[in-house]
Amino acid sequence: MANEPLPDDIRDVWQNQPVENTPMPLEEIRRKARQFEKRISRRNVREYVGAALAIAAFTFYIFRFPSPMIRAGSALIIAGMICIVIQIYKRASPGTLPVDASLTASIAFHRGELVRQRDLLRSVVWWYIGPIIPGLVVFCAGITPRHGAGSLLSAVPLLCIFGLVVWANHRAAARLDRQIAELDSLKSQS
Amino acid sequence: MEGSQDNRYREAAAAYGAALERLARAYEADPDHRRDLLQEIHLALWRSFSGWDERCTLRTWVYRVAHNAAASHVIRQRRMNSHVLVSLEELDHLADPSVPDASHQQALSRLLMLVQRLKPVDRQVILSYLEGMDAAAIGEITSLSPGNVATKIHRIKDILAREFHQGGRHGE
Repeated sequence: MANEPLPDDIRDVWQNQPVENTPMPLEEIRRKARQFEKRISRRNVREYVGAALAIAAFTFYIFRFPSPMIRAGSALIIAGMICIVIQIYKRASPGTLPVDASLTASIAFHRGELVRQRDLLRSVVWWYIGPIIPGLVVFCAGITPRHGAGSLLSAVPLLCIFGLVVWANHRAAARLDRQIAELDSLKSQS
Repeated sequence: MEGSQDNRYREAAAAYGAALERLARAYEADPDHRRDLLQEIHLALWRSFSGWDERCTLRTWVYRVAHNAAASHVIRQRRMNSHVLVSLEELDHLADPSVPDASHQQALSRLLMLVQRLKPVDRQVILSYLEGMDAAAIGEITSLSPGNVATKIHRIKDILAREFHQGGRHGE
């Protein structure tokens, strides 16, 4: 008992603990900042490249196929893709937290971001799959007279993929729900 | 512009480098992750000085940015489930005064374990207290009301006194 520190001594214990205190060179900091910015821009590019490829493919179909239905379907799919890109830009772009925000505000910000992402995942049918469906229906109807009713079967794998997308997004939303509950448990009593 | 950002960062790193290392230790127990966290804090600090308008003191700015970076790291690591974080009030009931302890190093280990169990805002208050700040400075950093800070500091002192026993003096 005789050697145990009092609260005031505890501050000394804390402040006098051994630290390396090796300064981080400015060049290293700049390199990491550049890496961080590259990572963000690469992520943004990835999100849009898929849509750009699909738009290019359906633009090719408009010129390649003479059928008005196929052309109309392709045009509708392109319009749907553009809708999705706009939605990603408007709804999926992360917000920014002021660097000097209080910790309470910071946690509230993180919670808000998780809620926004969860709601986005849950509504994926409306903003990600919905805009594609009209074009897809018209496109499939357009190719049916050329290749017979069997070509309608080509829509089945697509519907399966859509179903998988919805299921995966709802699973991810449930995971975010758990993280939101964890953040709520971090709030301190005042 | 970049020159003043660099100079401000250098000034902050020189004045608070050791405190930032202690802060990283309080947020991250794993040595490898702690090194990453310390780098994240320094990076956040350097980036923050491009927009510092000197409306608050350098110390307040440094601690706010550092605590935010550390809290973001903890949230991102999603390791909060691995151990339940508690508030000062809950810790008050959990403090175990019967654990014998004598050495400086053991006292530090126990203190770290205690701090790492706290919820972020309470951890921010206790770390500021341990760094020697008064209630006004802690209130400025945390944005908590002076009354709230005073109550929390009172609880911290009680917990520390109980945890490390009031019967003796370190180093005697």
